[in-house]
Amino acid sequence: MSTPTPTARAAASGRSARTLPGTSSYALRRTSARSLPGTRRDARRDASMDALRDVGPVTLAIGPFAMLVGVTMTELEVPLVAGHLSSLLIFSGSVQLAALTLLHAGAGLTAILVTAAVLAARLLVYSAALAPRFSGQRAWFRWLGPHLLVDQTFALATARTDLTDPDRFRRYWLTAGFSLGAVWMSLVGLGTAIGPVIGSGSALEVTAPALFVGMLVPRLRDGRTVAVAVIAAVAALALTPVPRGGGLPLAIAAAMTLGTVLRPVQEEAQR
Amino acid sequence: MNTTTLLVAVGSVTLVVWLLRVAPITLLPTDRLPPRARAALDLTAPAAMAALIVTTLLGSHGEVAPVGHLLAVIVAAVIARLSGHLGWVVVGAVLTAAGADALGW
Repeated sequence: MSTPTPTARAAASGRSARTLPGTSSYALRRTSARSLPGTRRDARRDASMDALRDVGPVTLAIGPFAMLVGVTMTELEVPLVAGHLSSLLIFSGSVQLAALTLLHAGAGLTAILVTAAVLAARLLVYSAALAPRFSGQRAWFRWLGPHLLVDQTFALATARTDLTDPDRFRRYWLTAGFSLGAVWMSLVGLGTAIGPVIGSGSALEVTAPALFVGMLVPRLRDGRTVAVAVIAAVAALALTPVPRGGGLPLAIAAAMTLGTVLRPVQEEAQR
Repeated sequence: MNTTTLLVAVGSVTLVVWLLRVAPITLLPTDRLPPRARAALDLTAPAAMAALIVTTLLGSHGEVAPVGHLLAVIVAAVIARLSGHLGWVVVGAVLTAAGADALGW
């Protein structure tokens, strides 16, 4: 008597052949692709490689500002180790520069902290925008990962649509943040040495606005986004006199608010 | 500059900035946000990028950037539209600014 085929056995037992032990379909359905050796590791490696590729051009743009921070630290006679520690801990060039400058000028701690809070206010908005990506993550990452939140990491993370998987987002974020941080620290150190040689007004000063242009243009996919960008730019220009750099977060908030108001007006016009 | 004072200031600033970075992520109920709030947050990136372009172009006292830098930003926008590659955008902008500087613009 011949061995019953899977189909025959299924017919006899009343179950689908795909669920019967011993069939190749059963083996594949019971084994998650993610648990196969190499697959999960490959996915993580891909996220890291994507992050390194994306960060590459960004490092060109942060160079001049990083060197400016280094030059300023030298001019303000900031102790070397403490100065580099401030780069690592604060991880925000504009806040670091403002804090060191104010401290050198004899400002009190309250004034320094208020200035820092105003300059870093946009990070609050960035953090709110990224909150869904961080939800569902491990606790250590939710509390420590945001330390890597700066303009560049925010822009890179929000530009990609393939970071919905929590593991992939975490790997991408950490790789982008740490590699950017390593470059930042190195260039600050370089700035203490060669910054004065480069001088002010050099063509390299255009790298920062160029980088942000490069990050903005691909996002201008509809009229509302274009309108929001124009409003933000005009508001930033108009609010330049606001002290302590407070104009920047106000401009962002104004553009975001008007952008949500514009939506029902646009939808009404299209009907 | 006194090292102790510096470290106290840096530590305090670090705490303030970290709180700004972490508070929404740990406190915001992202799954219960009203649709308008969610829509507003989705506009953060373009608004922030546009505002940063202006603030990084202006000097520390709000002075207008050199013509060469303005031209470089236009070139950057064109390259971004055509290629979308950040590297070429930055390189193109720097070359434009350098060329304008050489021409005395």
